[in-house]
Amino acid sequence: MPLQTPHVITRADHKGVLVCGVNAPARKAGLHGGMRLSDARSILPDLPNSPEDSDLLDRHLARLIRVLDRYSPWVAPDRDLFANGLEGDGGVWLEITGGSHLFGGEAAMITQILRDMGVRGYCARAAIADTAGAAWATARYHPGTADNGNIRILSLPGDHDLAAHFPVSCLRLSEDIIPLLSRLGLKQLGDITHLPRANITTRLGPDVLHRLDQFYGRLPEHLNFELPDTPWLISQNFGEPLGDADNLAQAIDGLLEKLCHSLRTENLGLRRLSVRCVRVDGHIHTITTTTGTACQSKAHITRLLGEKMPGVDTGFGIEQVIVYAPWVEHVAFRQVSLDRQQDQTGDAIAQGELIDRINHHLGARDILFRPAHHASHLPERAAIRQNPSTPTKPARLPDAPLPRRPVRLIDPPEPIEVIERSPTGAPVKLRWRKMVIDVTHAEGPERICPEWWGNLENENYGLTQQTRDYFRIRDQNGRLLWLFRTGHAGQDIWSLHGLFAG
Amino acid sequence: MSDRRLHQARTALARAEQQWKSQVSGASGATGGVIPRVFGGLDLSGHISIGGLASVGLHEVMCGHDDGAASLLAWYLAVLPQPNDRMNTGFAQSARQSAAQQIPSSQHLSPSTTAMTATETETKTKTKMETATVAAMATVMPPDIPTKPVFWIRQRRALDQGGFYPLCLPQYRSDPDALMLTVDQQQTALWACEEVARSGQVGTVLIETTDYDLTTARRLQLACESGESRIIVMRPAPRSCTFGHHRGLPPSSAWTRWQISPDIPNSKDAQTHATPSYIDPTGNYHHLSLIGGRGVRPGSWKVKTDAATFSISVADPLENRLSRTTTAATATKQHAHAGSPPHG
Repeated sequence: MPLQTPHVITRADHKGVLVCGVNAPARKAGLHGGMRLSDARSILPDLPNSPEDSDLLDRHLARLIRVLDRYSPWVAPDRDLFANGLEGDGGVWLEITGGSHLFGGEAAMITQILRDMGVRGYCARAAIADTAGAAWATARYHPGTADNGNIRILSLPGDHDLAAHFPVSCLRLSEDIIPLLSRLGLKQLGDITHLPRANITTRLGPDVLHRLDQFYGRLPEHLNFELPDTPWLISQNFGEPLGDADNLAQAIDGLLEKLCHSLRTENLGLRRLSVRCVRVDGHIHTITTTTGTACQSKAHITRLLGEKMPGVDTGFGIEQVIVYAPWVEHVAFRQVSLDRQQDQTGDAIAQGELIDRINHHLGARDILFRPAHHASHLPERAAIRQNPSTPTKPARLPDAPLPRRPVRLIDPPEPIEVIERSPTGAPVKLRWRKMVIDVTHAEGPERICPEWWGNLENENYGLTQQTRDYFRIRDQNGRLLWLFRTGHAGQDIWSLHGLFAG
Repeated sequence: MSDRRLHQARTALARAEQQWKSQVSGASGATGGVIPRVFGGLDLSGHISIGGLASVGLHEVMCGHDDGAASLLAWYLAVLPQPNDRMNTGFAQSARQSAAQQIPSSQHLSPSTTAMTATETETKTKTKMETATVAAMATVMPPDIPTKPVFWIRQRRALDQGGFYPLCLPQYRSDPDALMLTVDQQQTALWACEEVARSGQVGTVLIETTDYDLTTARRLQLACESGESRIIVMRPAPRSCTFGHHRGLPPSSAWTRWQISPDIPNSKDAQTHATPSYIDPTGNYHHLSLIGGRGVRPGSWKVKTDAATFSISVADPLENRLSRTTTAATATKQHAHAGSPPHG
């Protein structure tokens, strides 16, 4: 039962609290969507409001579409209304061409839909017309037939006079055109249809004529029908259970061939594939592979699967094989001309397959990556890893020049013990890995401060304990080492961070 | 009488030279052509019997004391362009002609302008060329060849001095892309190396690994040949051969085997070397040794690593010329002189 007292749904915005949904008593009191809550309170001082829950609306809409599925498989929500969200009432289109006789005719169908909606707690109006635009207008402005006010059916050549009395707001025009039309005295649909078409476009813009043509079916209108996703799933039952690994591999090959063919016709490629083998005793063995790029080639998938196939125990036989691709992706356009472009694309595909093959062999701690440059002064944070098959960052940032960096970085830095240091602070003799190193030359310091957002509680931004002073030294054997000092003055902590090549 | 014995000796020498030249040329593997000049114009035809560095195949860098310089050497060997690159050939020939015209002035160029020549000229023409033109040739790097990436495989704890840091590469040079793989087990590392090399999708595979046997080396070599790629192995040298003397090296079937060690500034003969008394911002001096391989006469050079271009070039042309004119007769003597680094 709907509320009998005014109630609004509000949304907090950067401009303030806005009203985004009103119920029928509130609308009667003069409230509308888009006004501020303070304006609405000036009309109705004790107006109750509740904050918006956008997920709730989506969930209700999804459920509604599932319910309406029984009347027609082609259901399209009115996305314009839900997009701006300020109307407070949504709508759903059903494509019922050639289907109304299953419910006993058009009038009976409307009655049934309205009863169904009422049972579920929705206040709804239903209408049937020749085009989507006419149906939209009819549901809102048709007065209903004489015997039953709920049955609104507009059949255009016959009900032309009725349609001519619809107000111009039935054309789904934007907010700024409707006042202009009413100022010109064009209040009803019949006023516009008689005007010369060229004048309408010149004076009012192309939108009015476009909507008018859609109303009368002179222009097509494309609706976003909610269609169930095609599951990329193929299954096959075997009357004689497969007891042999070779037969099983052959069966999977056939299914993969079919799957890849249908993927190719849709220009899709799979990213993940799971193969389920159902044994006669009900045990299900699942093999899953993942690819780095969208893949259409059967040979590649067969090879990836082949590494996991020995784990399948056929037992007394396998009676069903299900091949399922839960994750598919669009494949980028491939040029098929005799050009160098083709070679590079072919290389890219082959490289992606190579990366897949290697990734499938790696252990838990093994990493395959493409190095990239991150804008940070800390050396260990500047070198980052990224996905090898879909690199997004450059190997080197063009606008971030670096001072000399070592060729090998020891990460994490290894502790060293400075035995002797010069008055300037550079080390003279130190011990690393139990080896004593005599410093012949030292360069530095290069100071690298920690990132200030890393330790916000610290007030002294200049020198913290994490500030590093880097030195390049050459030891008695000619190696160039990179070491740094942290910590308080007098309580230095020295670490070795890398080796230079020269 | 002495003339006759001299003639006999010369004939024997020529025969030995011929035999050395044809020693490995019949073996498979030199299909991808050879790179005759590396390290800033250093001619390797007197040291390697196939006439230069095999561009397809297995090479080894023995790492010991200084992994930083070894990493630089490995990267330098990895990004050497293939000599049979079809876009490279015409460019290289024209560059060689221009370099031949620049011979008198090229002496004044600094050795840091690296020459990566990629000519497929015969050895005879190279030996006829002026021996003093070793210092510099034009840097032969066509600007926009789509180069294949370099695949760097690191086996954890194989070399214990950290991991490769890709930001050390110079900013304003188009190095090939790098793909890096870090694994725990040697088995995985070698498998991945073979798989990548066989696929032909990368130009060079760099692998840091511990010791492996001859069968593995042969497998890697075959994988290189089928994929036309190059493998640079960085393997730790045994403790006994890190400082100069190369006894007890594990055997391998690699084309060449290199070692690089720093030029020690405060050794007893530091005065004879022009080592600066500060850390040179342009580079550091090293001893580069060719210590083994198939049909290889060992040699040793003093080289300078260049930080700006991340390359290695022969430090001083005089020493380079001495090792270039090495003949078969003086090879052992020369090697005894040059092969042992000058420290006590």
